Parts: sequence; C-alpha cells; structure tokens
Amino acid sequence: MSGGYRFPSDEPLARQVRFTFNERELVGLEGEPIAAALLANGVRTIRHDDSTGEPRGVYCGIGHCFECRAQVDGVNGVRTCLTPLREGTRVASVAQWDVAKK
Amino acid sequence: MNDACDVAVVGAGPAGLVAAIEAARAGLSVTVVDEFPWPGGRLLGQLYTDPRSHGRWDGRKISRQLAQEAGELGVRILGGATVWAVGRDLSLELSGVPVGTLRPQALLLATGAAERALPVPGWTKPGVVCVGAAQTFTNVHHVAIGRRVLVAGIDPLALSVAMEMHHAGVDVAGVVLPPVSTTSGALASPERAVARLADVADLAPNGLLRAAARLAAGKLSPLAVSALRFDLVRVGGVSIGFRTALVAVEGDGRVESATLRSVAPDGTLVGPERRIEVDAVCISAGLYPLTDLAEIAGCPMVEVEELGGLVPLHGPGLETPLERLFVAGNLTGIEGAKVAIAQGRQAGCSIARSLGRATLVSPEDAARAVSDARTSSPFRFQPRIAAGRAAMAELWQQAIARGDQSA
Amino acid sequence: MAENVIVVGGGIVGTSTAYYLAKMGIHVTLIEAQDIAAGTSGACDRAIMLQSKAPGPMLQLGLHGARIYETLEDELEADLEYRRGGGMILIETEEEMTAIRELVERQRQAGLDIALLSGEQARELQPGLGAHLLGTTWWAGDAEVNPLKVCFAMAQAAQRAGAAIRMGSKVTALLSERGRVVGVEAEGKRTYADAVVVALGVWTPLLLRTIGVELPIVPRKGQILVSERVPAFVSHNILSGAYIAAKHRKDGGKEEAQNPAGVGLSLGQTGSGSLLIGGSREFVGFDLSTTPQVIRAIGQSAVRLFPKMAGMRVIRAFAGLRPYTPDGRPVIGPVEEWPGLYVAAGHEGDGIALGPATGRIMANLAIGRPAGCDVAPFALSRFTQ
Ligand SMILES: Cc1cc2nc3c(=O)[nH]c(=O)nc-3n(C[C@H](O)[C@H](O)[C@H](O)COP(=O)(O)OP(=O)(O)OC[C@H]3O[C@@H](n4cnc5c(N)ncnc54)[C@H](O)[C@@H]3O)c2cc1C
Ligand SMILES: Cc1cc2nc3c(=O)[nH]c(=O)nc-3n(C[C@H](O)[C@H](O)[C@H](O)COP(=O)(O)OP(=O)(O)OC[C@H]3O[C@@H](n4cnc5c(N)ncnc54)[C@H](O)[C@@H]3O)c2cc1C
Ligand code: FES
Repeated sequence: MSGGYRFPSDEPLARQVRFTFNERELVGLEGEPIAAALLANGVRTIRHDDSTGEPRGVYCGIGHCFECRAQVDGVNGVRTCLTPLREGTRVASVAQWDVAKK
Repeated sequence: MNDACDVAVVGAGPAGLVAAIEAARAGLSVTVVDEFPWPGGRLLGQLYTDPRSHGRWDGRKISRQLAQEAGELGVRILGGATVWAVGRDLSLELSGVPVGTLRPQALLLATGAAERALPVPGWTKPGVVCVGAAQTFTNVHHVAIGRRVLVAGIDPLALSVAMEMHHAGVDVAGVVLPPVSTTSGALASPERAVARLADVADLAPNGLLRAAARLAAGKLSPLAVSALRFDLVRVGGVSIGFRTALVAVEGDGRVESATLRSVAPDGTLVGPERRIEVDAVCISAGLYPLTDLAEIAGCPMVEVEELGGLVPLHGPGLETPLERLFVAGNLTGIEGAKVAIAQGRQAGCSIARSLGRATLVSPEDAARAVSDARTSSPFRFQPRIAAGRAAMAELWQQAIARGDQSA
Repeated sequence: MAENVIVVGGGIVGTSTAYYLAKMGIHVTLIEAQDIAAGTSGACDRAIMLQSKAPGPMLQLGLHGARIYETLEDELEADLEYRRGGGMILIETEEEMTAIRELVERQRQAGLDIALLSGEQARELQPGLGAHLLGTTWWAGDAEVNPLKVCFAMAQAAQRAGAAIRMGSKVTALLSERGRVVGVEAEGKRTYADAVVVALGVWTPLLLRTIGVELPIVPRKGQILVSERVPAFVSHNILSGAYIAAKHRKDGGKEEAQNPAGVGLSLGQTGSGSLLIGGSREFVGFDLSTTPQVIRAIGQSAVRLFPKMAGMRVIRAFAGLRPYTPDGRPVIGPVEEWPGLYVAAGHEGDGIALGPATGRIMANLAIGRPAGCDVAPFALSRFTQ
C-alpha cells in the first residue's frame, strides 16, 4: 500500500470533521469510530499502560478488550473503537483525572 | 430513561435483529440495545461470495435491510448503549448514550462471540490486533490496520480476512500458524490446520480459502501427512506457510517486525528463527461465546467444547431455565451468520409464544430452518458443531428431568 | 495444657490464631475448605478504624489490635501495605452532626483525641469533597492494611513456625468422645487434637449446629465497587455518617425504611491506585451477588460526597458477607458444654481490625492460658443463656 491508510471506497464518503488527539489537530470522517480516524491518521498508540508505561492501541476493534480506551471530551475510559467521531471531539491518552481540581 | 416494553433484546447482530423483527410481527413492542452505534454486530464486517448462490454476501447491506425492516415494524434500536447488568426481574441497566433501566416482560440475550487471546512476546504492541479487528477496520471502516501485515492463524476466518485485506490493497506478508503455546495447543499444529481446512473445502466463501482448502483436502491422501509435504503455498497473491509459526513480534513502541520459525507436522518448533518486516500483525485464535450477561442474569452455564466453551443452558426453542429469558446466536455456540439469523427467527417465535402471541412460523419449522442454515453455511467455525448441539439437547433433557426448568 | 490444636478456617481470624499458637510452640493444624482468605477476609475493605468502634469492649479490643498492627510487618517479615494515615467520618446533615458529636464525646472520654472539623477544614484535608459537607471527624491514629496480605503473611509465618496448613479441605464434622471435642473430620479424614478452634466467620453456625450448638451469627452482605486506577488522592480511611448510622442501627427503624440496603460511603485506595468504594449492609442470607440498584446507590453516594468521581470508571463490583451478631460483638472463647471446643467468629465489619488481636487471645485461651484481657463481653454464654 502506498500513501494513506484509508481505502478508496465506492460509497460516498462521510463529511470530514476536525478533532484533536492530545491537542494535535487531525481530520477524520464524521461518525466513524474514533479509533478508525486515529488509525487513518497513522496514530497507533492511543495510551500508555498506567503501570508499565508501555504503549497500547486497538486490539479487538469491537469493544471487548478495552485496550483502545482514551479520554474523550473529558470522560475517561471511553472505548474509541465504539465511539463515533464528531466535529471538535477532543481525545486524550492520559487519564487526566484529578479529584482536587475544581 | 426508565421504561417498560414487552421484549428487550441485547445485541443488534443478526440473531438479535431477526428475533426483534419476528417478535414485532407478533404484535409485541420491542427494544434492541447494542453498544456499537450501528446495528449489525459481526455481520457488518462480512463480505464475500457465497458459493451456494454465487451471489455476494454483503453484511453491511444485510444489516441495513434488517434494521430498516425492524424500524418499519416499530422496533426501537438503541445504539451506543452498553448493558452492564441484568436484574433478577430481567431489568436491564444501560450506560452510554442512553442511561437508565429497561423493564421488559421477556428478554433475549444475543451478545455474540468474542475472540480468544493468544499471547506471544510483543503482542501488546500497537499494531498487533485480533483478526476480527482487521476484518472490521478493512470491511466496515475502510481503514488499513497496516501497510504490510502478517496474519497468524490458518483457519477460515483468518484466510478470509487475509484475502479481504489483499483485495483492498494491503501488502499481506503471509499467513502463518498462530504462536505455539499451551492455549493454542492443536491450533498451531500443521496437521490440525490442514484437517480444519479440509473440513470446509467445498463451502469456502473465497478464492484463497477455497484453494487452500482444496489443497488440503484434495487429491492428497492420506490427507494430513501428505499435505504437509508443502510448506509455502501461494494462492491469489498471498502465501500461506503451513509449516511456519509466529514466535514473537518486535518493535520500538510499535510493530516493526515479526519472528517466524518452522514447525514440524506435530507442532513442535524446529530450525532457526527468521525475521520479516511488517508494521502490523493480526492473530486469529478462535472465538468463544460472550456469556457475561447470561451469567449475570443467573442463567445456569454449561461447558460444551464443541460449541466453543462455556454456554448458557438452553432448550430446543432457545429458552433457558429462567422464565422468559431466551438466548440466540453465537452466545449459544459459534456458528456463521446464517445460523444466527435462523436462530433469531426461532427465538423471536418462542418469545412471542411465551407472551401468549400467535406466530406465523411453527416451532418445528423454525427449528428445521436452523439446521438447514447449518448445513448450507459457508462458514464452519467449530468442526463438531452438530455434536455440540446434540450434547446441549441432552443436557437440557437432564435438567428437565431434575426439575430445574422453571418455565 | 493443650499441645496439639486444630484451627478451622483460613480467614484473618483463623490464620492469626494459627500463627500465635505456632509461635508459642504449639503443634497446629489449620484446615481451610478452599484457600487462604477465600471467605470474607478476601472480600472486604482495608480499614483499621478505631473511630467507628463503639466505646467499651469493642474499642478496647480495637486498641489492642491497632497496637499489634503497628509492628506486625516487622514481626511477620512481610509487606502488608500498612499505613497509618488517619481517618474521617464525613458529616452531611444536622442529624448526623448531632449523633456524631455524641459519639466523638464518648470516644474522647475513652481516650481517643478525635477532632471535629468544619466543612472548610475537611475540604482542605481531603481534596475533592463536595461543598455541601458540614464537617468531619478526624483522628490521626486510624490506619489501613491489605487484608489478603495479612492473611497470607499470618499463614506463612505460622508455617515457618511449624504449623501444618491443609487447604481445599472442608470440615464436615466435629469429633467427640465422652463429652469432649477431640478432633474434626474433613474430606473423610479424621484428625485429632487437644483443642479445636472454629474460626469460620459467617459459616461458623453451620459447623457448630452439627454438634447441637446454636449461635446467632448471620451474614450481612456488603457490596463494594472497584474503580479504575487513579492517581493517589485518598490517604486515609473515609466513612460517611450514613455508613456509621447503618452500621449501628437497629432493625425495623425509620432508617431501614429510607435506606433498605444500608448504603453508606466507605472509601479507601489500594496500593495499585484503585478505589474501593463501599458499601451496603444487607441481610440476604449467603447470597454473594451484586445488584444494580445497590451498585447505583453506592455510586451516587460517592459522587454526592466527591462530585469529581462522576467522571471515573467503575471496573467491577464484588460482595462479601460480614459475620453479624445481634449485639455487634464477636464470640471469642470456649463452648462451655463441649470441653476442647472454642469459637472465634462474628466480627461483622471489624474483623480485619480485630483479627490479629482475636488470634492472640484465642491462642492463649485454647491452651489454657489467661487471655490477657477481659473476654467476658465476648463469651458465647451471653447468647445461650
Ligand atoms: C471477530 C469475528 C468475526 C466473525 N466473522 C464471521 C464471518 O466472516 N462470517 C460468518 O459467517 N461469521 C463470522 N463470525 C461469527 C459471527 O459471530 C456470526 O456470523 C454472527 O454475527 C453472530 O450473530 P449474533 O447475533 O449472535 O452476534 P453478533 O453479530 O456478534 O452481535 C452481538 C452484538 O451484541 C452486542 N453486545 C454484546 N454485549 C453487549 C452489551 N453488554 N451491551 C450492549 N451490546 C452488547 C455487540 O456489540 C454486538 O453488536 C465472526 C465472529 C467474530 C467474533
Ligand atoms: C464489604 C465488607 C467490607 C469490610 N470492611 C472491613 C474493614 O474495612 N475493616 C475491618 O476491620 N473489617 C472489614 N470487614 C469485615 C471483615 O472482612 C470480617 O469481619 C473478617 O474478614 C472475618 O474474618 P473471619 O476469619 O472471621 O472469616 P472468613 O474470612 O470468612 O474466614 C472463614 C474461612 O472459613 C472457610 N470455611 C468455611 N466453611 C468451612 C469448613 N466447613 N471447613 C473449613 N473451612 C471452611 C472459608 O472458606 C473462609 O476462608 C468488611 C467486610 C465486608 C463484607
Ligand atoms: S479495541 Fe478492544 S475495546 Fe476497543
């Protein structure tokens, strides 16, 4: 394969939307799972394991393994392979959970 | 959300959707819940030529049609909602897009199957995925899991997915045996792989699988031994290593290469290691029924190896020992989509009858349709599925004799 | 004096008893039906909390236990995740304030210098607490521990001191001869000893019934949620006033109608970062299931007290069975009508805090030595007479 990761499709493509991954601006297709949009942008590592620090990404692709979880629009532990992308979706690797923050 | 309905269905795969349609036809109000935003379940990723009808089996299209038919009959489909608990009164707790409780009169669990994990050094690196992920990303999302991909697993599903990726333009570096381990056991033995393929020879839904299967079954005799004379077979531009297994995946933070070794016919590793450059590896290690909700619901579980492992105890009409709790599809045993559809219809009818409604299809016809689907199915995941179904019928009879059945 | 003792039950009470016996040179056999900590001691929270103990014998036993814990890691040569980080009881309503003021007053008289802080001070001490909080108690002496590690460390130390441990061996009968208990039968095998200590938690009445002894221990279920791992922010034991009310309440009261599952918040954080979010108090027999209604109620009480928790994931839930007695005190001592038979069970929600102290007392009693403290309040005879 050459070029990007997206296959040509005979179906009309969905609308392009902008989103961010760890503050980086990316473009994906509206309604596709966030994990697919990330992969199409060449992003493999979605998060790092919180005890070993090893990189982790999509594994099962269908909601069973929770390996693809990320923080999406402020909610932690969201499975990106199940969650549709919208204009402006904010995706972040780290569990930015701080109980003390107002 | 907190509401009541006649029937709730968990899982908008083929089994769940068809059951919902059947129950709605009988005049019942039905709600289907699925954690994926779109209905279809594993059907969505299926795309191949059906050797029986010579037509195309386009799972996305079929899913859309089923969902539309359900919608026209008034079935409510809630996407993006995970069911995290089932109460003793069959109430469902939802989280996700809609949050709340559903209180149905009858419940169908059609939660499908999951993939077995098969650890190999390096398997947690980004770029190592299950074969189902490769199938979904290729056929549903139209995104490549990598530019050059190694497929580890020589079974109908792995070969189909390898072919689909190849057709889509991915460089498939090869299809080899899965890692040899205590969990993969016989999966990783060339003899077994060949025997499994021979089993599906005439039904195989795509060129690669068909060719591989013919090779395995074909004129070669006695099958297992002579088939093993070859190691590398090239079919339709993809090479299959019947005598090669994946032993490790390497890379700094992502997949950069895979290490392979030769395998003797009995499955032991021999010879030196060799390394190939790939940026993704997809592992196929078999499927098992996704039983979590059935267990939470309190349904008695039984272990039937031929069905794929632990499954909920169920009767000939897909009823369970718990009153008004039904099960259908891959949750009851690993089979192809056509069987799931036929089981969905059967479950829908059983549910309608349990709520005092008449159905167009008789219980006998519904049951017959399931076995017909089984014999004509292009996919056979469990080689001894019929024996598994018979074992379940036997277990059900024993349970009734013991008086376990409350219905 | 007994030289040979069988301890039945591998929870915190049984393993502790076996350890202290072995340490004194007694020949001990510990018999457990499944595995060490397979019962309630493996399905509970981690608090060694004195503030929550009723002043009187329970508080005395608690103080005894807390002292043992201070040096237990060294004694057992094991990491027990022991930490003395203090504890709080959160106060949300005026009603709770009145009740807890009174409890604090009594605790102070008993020697615990518990402070009563304002809502403002509470939020300073424990970040993340909700704005509606009226106040909190605070006592620096409360501690926590990993109960599984305590059980395993006790069992291993007992073994090192010569104890025999038999797991996967369910005791089905107590053997008697001439009016005396002389051993047990497990998996068809008979084992004899000078004394038998029954430390079976909620299962104690089932075995004692086989020999005609009734005692009023019943299971009181507690459900607990486990969160995803989050950065450390809870460094002490936290209970809500509602939890204390549920713990000490009597049956059939107004509170029971309002809160049938006895839900009140208890919060602790494990070494790996997961929060243990409890809990409920339910009389539903030996049922170990978790229920959506209670899980939701526990989650709601956590979010009410820690609003930020709304964004946190719960990854699983489990339930344990507290060995409840009608007066809230355990049974520790001999069974009078059966010489040779002893019971140490019924610690309800305090067995982790009280387990090692109970083990030490029981070890003494079983070999005919003085208990080392006043055990009259824990005598079985208070229920049988
Ligand atoms: C990875 C994979 C690939 C497969 N490929 C093929 C193939 O190519 N050809 C073929 O014939 N068969 C294939 N199968 C077999 C497949 O399972 C059947 O074809 C068929 O889809 C089974 O239908 P079902 O309705 O039982 O379950 P599924 O189609 O699996 O549908 C189950 C649905 O339940 C949902 N669900 C599960 N748990 C919950 C929950 N707690 N809350 C909400 N929703 C939930 C899931 O999201 C899913 O959509 C494959 C199976 C898997 C796992
Ligand atoms: C939700 C919850 C939270 C709690 N939190 C705390 C807390 O924070 N702090 C605190 O101090 N306490 C707490 N507790 C209470 C504490 O867990 C118990 O009081 C304590 O664990 C009881 O210990 P035990 O050794 O008496 O019983 P168990 O630990 O139940 O041990 C009994 C053992 O006997 C075995 N057994 C049963 N029958 C047989 C047989 N026939 N033969 C052989 N073996 C048998 C069982 O397998 C088991 O291992 C909590 C309890 C619960 C349920
Ligand atoms: S990849 Fe497994 S849950 Fe998303």
